[in-house]
Amino acid sequence: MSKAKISSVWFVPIVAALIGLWMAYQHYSSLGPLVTITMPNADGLVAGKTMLKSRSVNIGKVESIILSDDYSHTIVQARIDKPYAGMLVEDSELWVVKPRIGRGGVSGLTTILSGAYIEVRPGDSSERKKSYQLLNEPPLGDPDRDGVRLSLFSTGSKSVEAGTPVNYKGFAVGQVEQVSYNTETGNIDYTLFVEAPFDDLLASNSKFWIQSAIQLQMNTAGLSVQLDSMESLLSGGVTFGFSKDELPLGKVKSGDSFKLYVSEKEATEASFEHYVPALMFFEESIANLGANSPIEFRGIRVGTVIEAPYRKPIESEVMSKNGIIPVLVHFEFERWFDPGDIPTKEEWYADMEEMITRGFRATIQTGNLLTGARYIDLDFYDDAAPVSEPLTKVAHNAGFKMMPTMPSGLTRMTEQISSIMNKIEDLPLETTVARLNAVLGNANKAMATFDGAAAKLDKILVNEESDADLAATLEQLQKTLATYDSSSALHQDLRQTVQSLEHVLWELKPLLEMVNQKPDALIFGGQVQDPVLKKDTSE
Amino acid sequence: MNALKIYAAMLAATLVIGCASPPQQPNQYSLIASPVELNGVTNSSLSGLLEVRRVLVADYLNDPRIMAQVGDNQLISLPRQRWASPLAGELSALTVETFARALPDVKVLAGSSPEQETMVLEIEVNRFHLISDSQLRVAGRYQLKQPDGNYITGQFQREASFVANNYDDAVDQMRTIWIDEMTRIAGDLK
Repeated sequence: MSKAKISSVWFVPIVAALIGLWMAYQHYSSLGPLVTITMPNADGLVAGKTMLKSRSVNIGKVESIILSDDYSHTIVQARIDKPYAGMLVEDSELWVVKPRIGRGGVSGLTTILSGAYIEVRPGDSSERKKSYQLLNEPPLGDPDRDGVRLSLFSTGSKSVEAGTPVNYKGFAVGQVEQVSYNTETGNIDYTLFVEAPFDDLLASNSKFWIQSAIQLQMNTAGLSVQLDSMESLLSGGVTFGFSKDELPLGKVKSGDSFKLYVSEKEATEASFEHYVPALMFFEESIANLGANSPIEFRGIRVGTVIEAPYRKPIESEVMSKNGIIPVLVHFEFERWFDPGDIPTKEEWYADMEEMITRGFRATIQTGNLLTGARYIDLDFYDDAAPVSEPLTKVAHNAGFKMMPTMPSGLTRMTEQISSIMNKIEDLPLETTVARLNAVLGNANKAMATFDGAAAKLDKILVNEESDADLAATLEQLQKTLATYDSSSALHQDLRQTVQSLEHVLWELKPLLEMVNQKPDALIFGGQVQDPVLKKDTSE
Repeated sequence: MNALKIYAAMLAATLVIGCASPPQQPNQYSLIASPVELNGVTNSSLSGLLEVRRVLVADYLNDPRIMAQVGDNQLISLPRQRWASPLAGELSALTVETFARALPDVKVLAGSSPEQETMVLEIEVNRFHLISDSQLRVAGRYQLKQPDGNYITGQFQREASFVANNYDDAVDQMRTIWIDEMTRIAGDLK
């Protein structure tokens, strides 16, 4: 008998098989996890070619791209290299990097040559995950960056997009990361990131507003145009700051909420916390006077119209009967008082009462002739009408103080003109005009007569024969008048006669006295003896 | 009956004639009976025309009889002492003569002058009477309008003595006072 012997021929195949098994083991043991990525479409992705990267390091490759069972989206399977399997956690983010042009600029230009790839941002969670929803846009904020992430809200329409930079004095200090609509509050919610160290500029009383490259404003002050940088013109921006004279309060922390204002002006005006409301009643049109219209005292802004007309129901017969329109206003103390001198509401009401007794009234004035914008002007008037007690009561019942008003200058002028026109109407113009016509008629007749006489005289004067006669007449008149001259004989004779007459009367004076005293003196004679004069006793 | 009436009429006439007092002539005085003799220096620097208006006398002095003051406010007339002509005319004539002598280079006119460059003198007398049996008083005021329209005004009042109850002396004193005052005024003219 002989032993079976294994042929040495099998040595090589057995070794080869062992090596093959070892290689297969090595291969499969070195494979990383397979991750499934769901996306609307696989635009730019190629199976077997598109890489997965993180911070520009290849960490995997797309192995297959297939459609979903319902053909509504695509499913990409990618293999992550084993050393990087730990990146696939619950809050990891994946997005496609491809050429993009957005508010922040142009990105992903290198993928024009290399092709798009999938960027992986690892999260912080410890839970592993193997399927992800691809992000539509790259996440804007780097979670590892230092800074604060704040929540902003605005009550108006969406004004900024995600990616809008946050600027401070021309420096980019952050960006708007997310914009969404809050269906519960009706506000637009923003997530805003301000990176360190600029977050130290923020405080709990900071104001955020939209920075416009061009600000065009037309109001009572006129037209103003403000231009910002070209970068702001292209990308817009959000900025922040404090109201005038306001100092920073406490520090901010991530998650704090602020309001996003449309403009710096709106942000400033929202900071007036010390104000007193009042009601004004106008008996004229309040067209072009509305909310945010200014209230001025001799050119100084002292308050704001809050609601015009004031729509809260105020039952008042006197208002409805006379078509009186109520307007709610705020007297904002910060506008004209120093922070330390702001009066209390009671002090202000007392001052207002005293001023009202001196004729302090409100009128509606036109501030801008171009736009027709109107404002409320406060001033003292000597002819101010007494305060209406019924309207004061109406305001009191509504919970406000009343600020009395006066008709505007135009209205008063109209009333005065109307009054003058009424007086003119009452004048007896017809009778007066008729008399004037009669006088003019008589004057015309007189003038006609005068013209006729002048014409005749003219004829006389023009006539040469008349000239000679006239000259002769004048000469004769001169001679006649000369006979009455003071040096003429006639004048002398007259003078003599007058003097003689005067002498006779002078002589008669004693006789008349005597006869008056003693009528029989004519027959029996009067007193002819001089009375005895008193002796001179001066010596 | 007719004869009775005639006799009664003749008797009445006789009685009237018999009771009538004989006429008695009063004494008459004139201020211009004698020529003016100046006592002062004449004003020979003045020339031109001077119109002397008729002197105005107070109404109570415009009487033929010389007036006398017998009380503080009481006047009486002297029926037997009369001016020969109205006092205003006498004083006017005396004034003209006095100025003519005092201003030898000035043409003094008694009437109005049509010339624009005439000086016009107006005098008003308010006292020209006796105040006792030997005292008299003369007073008045004057104004001179110069050719440039300016006025010179002034007043005068003087008293003088005369021989008691010698009315001729009294008139002479009055005349002297008047001449002196007019001469003074003439001397003040420029």
